[in-house]
Amino acid sequence: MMITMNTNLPSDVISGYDHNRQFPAWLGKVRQEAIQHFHKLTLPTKKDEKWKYVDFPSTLVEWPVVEDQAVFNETVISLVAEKIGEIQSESYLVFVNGEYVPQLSRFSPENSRPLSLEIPETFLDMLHSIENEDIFESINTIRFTDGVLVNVDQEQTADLDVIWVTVPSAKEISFHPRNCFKLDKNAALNIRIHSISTGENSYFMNAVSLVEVGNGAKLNLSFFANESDAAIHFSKFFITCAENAVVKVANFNAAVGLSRTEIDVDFLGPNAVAEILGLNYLVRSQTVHQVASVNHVVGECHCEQVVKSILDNESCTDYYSTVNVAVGAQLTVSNQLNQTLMLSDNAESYSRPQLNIDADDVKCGHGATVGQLEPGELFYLKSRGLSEAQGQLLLLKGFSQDVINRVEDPISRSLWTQFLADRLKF
Amino acid sequence: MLTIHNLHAQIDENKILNGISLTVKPGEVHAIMGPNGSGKSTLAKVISGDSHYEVTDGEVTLEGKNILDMDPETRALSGIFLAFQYPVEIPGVNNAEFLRMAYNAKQKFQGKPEADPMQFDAILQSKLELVEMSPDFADRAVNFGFSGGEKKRNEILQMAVLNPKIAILDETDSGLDIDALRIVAEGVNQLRSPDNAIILITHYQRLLNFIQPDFVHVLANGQIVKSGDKSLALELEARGYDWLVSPVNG
Repeated sequence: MMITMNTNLPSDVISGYDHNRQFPAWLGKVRQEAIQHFHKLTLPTKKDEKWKYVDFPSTLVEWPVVEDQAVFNETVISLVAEKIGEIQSESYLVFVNGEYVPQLSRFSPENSRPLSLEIPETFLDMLHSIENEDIFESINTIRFTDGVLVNVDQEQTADLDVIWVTVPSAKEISFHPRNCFKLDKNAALNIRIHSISTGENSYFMNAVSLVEVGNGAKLNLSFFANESDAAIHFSKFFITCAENAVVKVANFNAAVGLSRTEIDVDFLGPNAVAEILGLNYLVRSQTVHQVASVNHVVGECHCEQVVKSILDNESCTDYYSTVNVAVGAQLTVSNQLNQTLMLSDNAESYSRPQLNIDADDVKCGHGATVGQLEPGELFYLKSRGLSEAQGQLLLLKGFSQDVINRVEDPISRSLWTQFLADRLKF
Repeated sequence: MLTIHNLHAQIDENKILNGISLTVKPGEVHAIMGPNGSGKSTLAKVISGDSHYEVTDGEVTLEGKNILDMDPETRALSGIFLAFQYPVEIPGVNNAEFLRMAYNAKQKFQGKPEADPMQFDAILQSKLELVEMSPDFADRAVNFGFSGGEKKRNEILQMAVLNPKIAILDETDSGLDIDALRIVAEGVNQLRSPDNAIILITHYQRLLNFIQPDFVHVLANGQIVKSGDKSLALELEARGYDWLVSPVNG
């Protein structure tokens, strides 16, 4: 059932949250604080560098959430089964139109559970500071219903797939998942988030994920978007890395109307390592914004960012990444690399890597290339008997392979290898 | 097999080839020598179909077919192979996958069955041994991170896999130490047959100690100014090119 609105703001923003759901009292308090904060906020404008090239409908925060729906039909069941078969997952959580569907899910409750009805109060510790939230984070705090809570205990390992399925709706709708991933000392987690839709419907997915990676813990997080061309998908990841933590985040976009993924990584302990990867293969009028903020609060940490895009027709990517090295964060190593292949004169690419360095003994670098396929490489392949089309596709595959090879999780790597093999057929 | 007649070519309106004629028969090895800028590499690129060069006159035929009307891939499929002077690095493109695609493209062109990955692996392993390359090279990106010698060996590996009718080796000896030169030359010698022919482009006589040419041609100012047998290469080594080269427009 859709929420009917008579005002410019959705009813749950005004009144609090969905009272039909049995949320604990502490969350109600949090939401009330968020609502107060929300009313002080305005939508980001072109003057905000982080949002400079993001064109979104001004009514986006007003798109209503779906209530009491649990929509899943044969199409959804079949799509989920296909995805499960593809990823060979043994542990997965399925959400349809933002709502957790236990009938379609399978997981080990000791390590992970849907963040729907039984939200533990310990979750409060992981909440991002409300007063620092932007308008989209704020509306997520106000509206989130379901999400994923994963807490991997010390020395334990977990592997999980999260599947977000969106089914067509007659109206524009929104979902606001809130995920929390917490890895205790020396824990390891492989988590893959798949966002798919069953039709060309308009919706706004506004996800916020809070991630704590403890001492010596290791996180492999992959996000795959293969959604409706009318979809708007904003995702924000707040990641903190303790000493010796290892974090690998891979963001793959195959299809989506407008996507904006913002990844904040805070290095809080020395000798932590993070890798932020992105691969966008866009062939229609699709726009992907990848925003990163890497904060070297302490020294002796290492971060590598590699974001590549293949753009055809009127697609567009925008890479905006800031590396901040704090005073005293010596021996930091942090690099940004953004490369884009333009297959069309109508495609657009914006690349804005930035370094803010307040320490003097660091190695930081950034690089960006935007160009077409290298004619010399293409001629080399053709001189061996490959056709123009074969040569081009092989070069595109090679261009992407650099990112895929960096992905440690074999299932994620296999998913994108297969995706590209399917798309780049000869 | 390959006939070049009165070939003229230019790049950006700079005339580089000024009427080259050459006939290469099956089983023959022709060495083309000459000073820098004489047009040796241009000749190789024009034959292989590099679109940077414009052919303004003349013809090149392979087994009677005019290859100048063909795109580069059709020339390759028809049996032309160029071992590049500077092999291109292609990050991310797997050497074995690339070679299998090229091999299968040729098989398909010839109406022969294509090789699946397992079948091709067996073919590739035998060719790797020919050029004394580690099997690891098959899994690396094409020429990416290869040393100069490894790149040249990789060119000969491709030649071995594709089994061309005419192989043009453009300064394959440049940048090779004596051991690498021997390996490359032995690989080429093993690929020689009465059914194919080789055009060796080189500055130095030393390569010809390993690969015996049937003919040696001197290219200067875009023309073949002298042809002879292997003894011509020895004479060039002793006397240089000045005695054969007249100044341009001079």
